[in-house]
Amino acid sequence: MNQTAPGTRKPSWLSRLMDRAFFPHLPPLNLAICRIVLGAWVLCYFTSADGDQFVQACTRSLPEVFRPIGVVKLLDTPLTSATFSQIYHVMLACALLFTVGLGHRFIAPIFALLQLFLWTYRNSWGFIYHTENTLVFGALLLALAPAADTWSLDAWLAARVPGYGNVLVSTVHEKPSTPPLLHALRRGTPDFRYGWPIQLIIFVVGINYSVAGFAKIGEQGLAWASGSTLEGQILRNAYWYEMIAGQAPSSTLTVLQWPGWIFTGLAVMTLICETLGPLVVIDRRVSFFYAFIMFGFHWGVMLTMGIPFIYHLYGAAFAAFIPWEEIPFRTPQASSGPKDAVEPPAPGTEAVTAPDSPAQPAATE
Amino acid sequence: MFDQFSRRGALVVIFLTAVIVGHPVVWASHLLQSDTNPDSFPLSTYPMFSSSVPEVYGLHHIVAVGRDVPEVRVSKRYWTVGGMNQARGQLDKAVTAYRRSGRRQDEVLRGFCEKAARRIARLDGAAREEFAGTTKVQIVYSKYHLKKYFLSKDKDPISRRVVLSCPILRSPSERAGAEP
Repeated sequence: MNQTAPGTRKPSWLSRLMDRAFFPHLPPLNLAICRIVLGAWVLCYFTSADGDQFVQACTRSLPEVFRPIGVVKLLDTPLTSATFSQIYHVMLACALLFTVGLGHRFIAPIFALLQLFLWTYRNSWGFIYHTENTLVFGALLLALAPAADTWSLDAWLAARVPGYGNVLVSTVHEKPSTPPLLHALRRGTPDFRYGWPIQLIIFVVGINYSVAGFAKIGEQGLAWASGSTLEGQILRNAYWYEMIAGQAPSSTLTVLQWPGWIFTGLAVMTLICETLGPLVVIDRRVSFFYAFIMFGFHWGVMLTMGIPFIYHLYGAAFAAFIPWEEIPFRTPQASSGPKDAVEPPAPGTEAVTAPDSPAQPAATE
Repeated sequence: MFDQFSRRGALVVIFLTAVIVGHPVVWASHLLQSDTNPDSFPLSTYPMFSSSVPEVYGLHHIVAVGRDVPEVRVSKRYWTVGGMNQARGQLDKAVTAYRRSGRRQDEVLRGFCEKAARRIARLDGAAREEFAGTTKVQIVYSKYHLKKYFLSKDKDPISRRVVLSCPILRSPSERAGAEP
């Protein structure tokens, strides 16, 4: 993608670095999978016991403990249960449409704003949880990205209903050249406009970690790496559980028996992984490796402190990190044989890029 | 929307996003600890797991007490909804408001205390046994030596201060007597 024509100036190292970090040519499949994973996670969460607890915390807490933050500062008083319930059910409907990719250009921003509002509202009752920031940022970024150009009802309808694609799909969406179902399930043609939103999601996740990492250095310098602070945090967290919830997690009590050098090792690893988070955007394989480490990190936090970063524990937060473009899915296109082969364009008509073709240069710029 | 941006436009979006999300790092990490820079969501400035924890540590929590019976810790599920940290935050804020107002703003704190007492009074079965003999719910501030608490049998608080207490009214006559 960085080949230069004869006579043109060679791109600078910075330009090449930025290209590598932020403008890989990826198929629409990557964004589509991120959309489905995020939407499915939201649907599962809010239709489970966690969702019931979420609703209870927002509707049954004492009104006097309401402390609006962020976008919820627009409210002076808590919502009535009926109003909250209506907003909640609209969000659930939007989550379903977001997941199946219907009307993405219009529904996804509404879904993302509802996510922002509801999680902020949930955090406006005296304590701010820091476990769903990544989810909300991911929803906001996916809402603005062409995340329903494949594996979606939008892609199916664009191939099925004349004119649908003019209004409801992204400008980078390739023209349908196969039957609707095959078009909706294709991997899609790689383009930098599918690549940079993925890299931005990875970058934002990395920045979130680095904020936590630099907070530790800002507070104590590199002394945090000694592990004694980490041990103290685990102790204090166990104490909170014991006094407020009735019992500390049993795994925490086991961890507290560990020798000090294990806490030192964990603290050093934590500092390195958190502070260097944003840099993993420079290479897709490095990001994939990083996602593995951070997935383990969150399970470590769960086992040692009993703090469930649920969005991370199920791996949903790391969907963008996985190089789906390199995983050889057998798409219907590839397995359906000559019957579904794309007919070559008639002479004089616009050439259509075959799905699943190798990376193409950017169409614009 | 993102699909309409050129690379230059995309770079601007990436830069602005990085500044907005990462502003505590870009700006100065001391902001993360500043009291004048309150935490928010989803743009958080909370210094997660960063501060050192003193060996002797104090906390507001709720207990049920009575004559000649050991005290029972009252779990958050008796007095609020939501997670452990949310309950802890709510209790801390309620006690702070109560103290700052010279004990005039006690609605929230008393609400927690009375809710816990009411629910304990209505318990039956094994849960009722757990609270047998307790007569009062107390909101207390206890200090413990953390390591000793978890790694030895020493479970006694180093110090204890009662902030507010309210009676557990189990029988109808007790409840009738308490009504104004």
